[in-house]
Amino acid sequence: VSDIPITPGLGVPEVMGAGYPQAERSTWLDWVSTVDHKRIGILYLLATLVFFCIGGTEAILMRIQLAWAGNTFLSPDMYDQVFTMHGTTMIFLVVVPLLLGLANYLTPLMIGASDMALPRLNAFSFWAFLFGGILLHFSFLNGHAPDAGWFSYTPLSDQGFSLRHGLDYWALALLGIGVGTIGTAINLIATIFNLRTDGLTIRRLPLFVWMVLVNSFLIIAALPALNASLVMLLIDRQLNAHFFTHVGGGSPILWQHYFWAFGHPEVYIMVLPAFGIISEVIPVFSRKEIFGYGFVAASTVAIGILSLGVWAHHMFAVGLGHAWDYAFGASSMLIAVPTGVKIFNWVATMWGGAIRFTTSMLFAIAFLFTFTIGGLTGVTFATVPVDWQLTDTYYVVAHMHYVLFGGTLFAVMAGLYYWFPKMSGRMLSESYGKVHFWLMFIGFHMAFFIQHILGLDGMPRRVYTYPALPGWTAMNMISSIGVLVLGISILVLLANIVSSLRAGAPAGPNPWNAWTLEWATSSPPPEHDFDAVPPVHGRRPLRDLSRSLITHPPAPPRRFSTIKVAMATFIASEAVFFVFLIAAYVFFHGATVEGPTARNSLNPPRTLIFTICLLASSGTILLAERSLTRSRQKSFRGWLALTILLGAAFLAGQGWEYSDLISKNIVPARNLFGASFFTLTGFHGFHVLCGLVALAALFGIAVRRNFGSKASSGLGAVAMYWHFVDAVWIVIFSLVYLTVWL
Amino acid sequence: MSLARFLISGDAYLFSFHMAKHIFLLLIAPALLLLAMPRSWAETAMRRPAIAALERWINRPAITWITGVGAMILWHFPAVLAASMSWKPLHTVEPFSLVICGAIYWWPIFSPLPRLRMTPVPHAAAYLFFSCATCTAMGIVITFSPLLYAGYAMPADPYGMLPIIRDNWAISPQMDQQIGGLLMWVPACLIYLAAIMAMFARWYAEETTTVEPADGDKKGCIA
Repeated sequence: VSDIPITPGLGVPEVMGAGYPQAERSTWLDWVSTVDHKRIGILYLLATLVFFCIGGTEAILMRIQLAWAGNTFLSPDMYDQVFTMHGTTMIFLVVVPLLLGLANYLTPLMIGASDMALPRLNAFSFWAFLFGGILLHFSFLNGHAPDAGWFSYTPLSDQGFSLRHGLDYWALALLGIGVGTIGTAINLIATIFNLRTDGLTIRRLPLFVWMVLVNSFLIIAALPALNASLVMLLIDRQLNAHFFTHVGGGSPILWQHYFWAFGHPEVYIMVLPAFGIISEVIPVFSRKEIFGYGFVAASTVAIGILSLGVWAHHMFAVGLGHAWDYAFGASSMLIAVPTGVKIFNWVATMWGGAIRFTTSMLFAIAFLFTFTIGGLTGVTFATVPVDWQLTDTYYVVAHMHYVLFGGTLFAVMAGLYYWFPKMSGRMLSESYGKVHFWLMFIGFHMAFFIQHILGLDGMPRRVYTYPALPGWTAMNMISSIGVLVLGISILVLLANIVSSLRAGAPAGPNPWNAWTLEWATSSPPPEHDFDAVPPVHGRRPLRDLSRSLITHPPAPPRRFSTIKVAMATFIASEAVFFVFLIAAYVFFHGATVEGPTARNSLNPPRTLIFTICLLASSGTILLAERSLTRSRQKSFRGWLALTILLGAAFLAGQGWEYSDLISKNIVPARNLFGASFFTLTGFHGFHVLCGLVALAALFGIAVRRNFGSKASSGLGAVAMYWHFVDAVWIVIFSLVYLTVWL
Repeated sequence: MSLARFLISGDAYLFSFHMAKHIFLLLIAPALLLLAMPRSWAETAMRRPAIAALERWINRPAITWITGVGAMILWHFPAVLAASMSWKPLHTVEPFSLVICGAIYWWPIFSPLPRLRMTPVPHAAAYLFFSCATCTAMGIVITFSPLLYAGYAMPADPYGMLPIIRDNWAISPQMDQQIGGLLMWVPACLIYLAAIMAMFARWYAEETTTVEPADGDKKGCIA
């Protein structure tokens, strides 16, 4: 332990640390219309704080109901809604957007950029998320909130068992939130790829930024799976299809596969940025470089990839078969290796360091302690027989709170105390902070440790009450009191934030004497983030600067076209979405279906003609691009118009086909062929339509004025999208239509 | 005795055994061969213009990727798999083709000569990741498919092992195919993942050796 004083602004040249004149008081309109990444980041944090208070209140309601056996505080029906909303809110409206908000605020600052790569997309993503959150809570006003748990297993969530509209709100809200999350992931990837300052190579990225990057790729790979499952659930509920019900040959197990193919990576989406926060906080407060940077960075990739292939461990109790259980048990246990070694990396960073026990550091250490326990209980679940005993008991509840609350949220608290001075220009009070920390730490372990024992004793989760078995009331009472202590700790945090915003000590640009670029600008940073970005020659630029180790200007890193990176990432996410719809078609194609099938109801030769139209349009858009590079505006407009016509012809053909089918009463509700055929081709048609709108917009611009070189990169992006839509159609056409002739 | 025979030709009975053999021949053996190859051998070979020219032609990501992943896909088409079981020449060619295709696939990753390896490392990671994704997709199709590979639904039983497999080990044809699909889905992917980790480890090791010593201090330095 050291008592080295922390000097504000050490090692930062005067010009960069200079206080920045604040603009005149901003109005609410400035905030609503903002595209500044810092304001959007703060909007994210404020919105998640509100949702956190709502979700926390729901938790307190549940714990009051469970405080003693046979309590009647909440009706069973109400309890179902409250626990569903608590889980959904905390996962989709608190943890993920909280991390995205931090990433939004910090990523450009940490890489020396002035904003995100696509500021308007950034604002759109935030509002899509907020709209989803409001829509979800609107279900309360409509009379009934969703009540099928945060993973909404079918058939419970399907139309047969859930007659009211709660789950429709749930699915629609999550779609909105999913779109927003994917938008932010695309933006973060484009930002980190293209806006790094000179010298900041990928291998020198601050670990928080690296983990945000890996996390964004994970979002691109996983979130579309949720979106695909949600649209299928909505089609089940609204159009009476039977994807996920046994009636009509659907498969409830398919929902579980689809949901967990998203749900398991989601667990890591919620924890990787938290690892990043810890990797920033611990070195700074130990005054040492992170131990084993390369391992921490590379193992993050391993965790990300592994997490995509282990979802079936959520389904051991389904009875998939021994082969499944062995394979997924083993691979799930493997995740513990890269994660466990990371814990050693953080501990080794602290080892021999000059540790300062600030509130931020205390939360980081509490993270290590709590997350390790949560990780270990996670390994016990990978052991199939143990899982069979403990699944759907309070042991699971305890495990997941140790990972999400004691893991991610503690890390976020560490990050909040660490970066709040940067965001507000004022320090959070350390004395309030210590009270907050200890209340939260004690309250958390009181609330959740005992739930392990309750779970081992067989108390099932998601049941509104329990019989008065020996010790159960006492243990539940302890847990409930713990949750109240947690609630008080949040009040202390709020008081700390409010009083510090009013009268906290001024922070100065670099209160912690940290090393990364965000500390090289004033607190709060000016609208354009940096007046001058210090040169980067290593992983700790501000430290190198103070030691005058810099002799030559750094080389610029490799950069790409922003719009192409963004479009490529977007296309990747769309590809995942289509993979799930195509897989559903193939899966149900193998099932025995009564009534219409592809073989007896489609007209492949006719579709082939329209297919040729669509494929030809890929060629015409290439010709349009070529005309533009040779600056022949007239032929460019001609080829563009032809592309639009060919695309429209394809859509007209699809309309013809649909009206034929519908007139023969072949609709999604008829059988699984109808459901999967209309879903797959319908969503493809929708994508064609979106492409047509984009092309028409380009055409409108082209008619009004000549296309410049700047607009041509827009054309390049639209062309990429158009080729993608065509490629998807080739797959669909081969699978749906050509197999008819086999 | 029959167990020994089974170990040698278990792929006459079990799809999963056949799959394990494929993974070994295509993914594990060639990678280990390349990792064990002395650098001097590769140097000597590359001094011959013909070999160097051939290497230049083959060593392009698209070609090596399609060779490696294509071999994996090709040998699992039901018709090809059936032919390899019944037609002797194909049965002989199969293991050699797998090892050679595997070696071509791994060449840009584990070539003994660093200058022939794929750069930058994130590209190599993507090369491996998309192989992993393809392999996973195939594994999923095989695991979920209600159709069974014809040759393994009713094996010919040349060594009288079938009762042991079906009754003592309780491996039905469905379960056998599931095990095979899952082998491809999970453990095969772990091989690619291990290679990705190796790539990153190598990459980060380079960075620490090329950056000027920002940290002049001894361990436990205090800034």
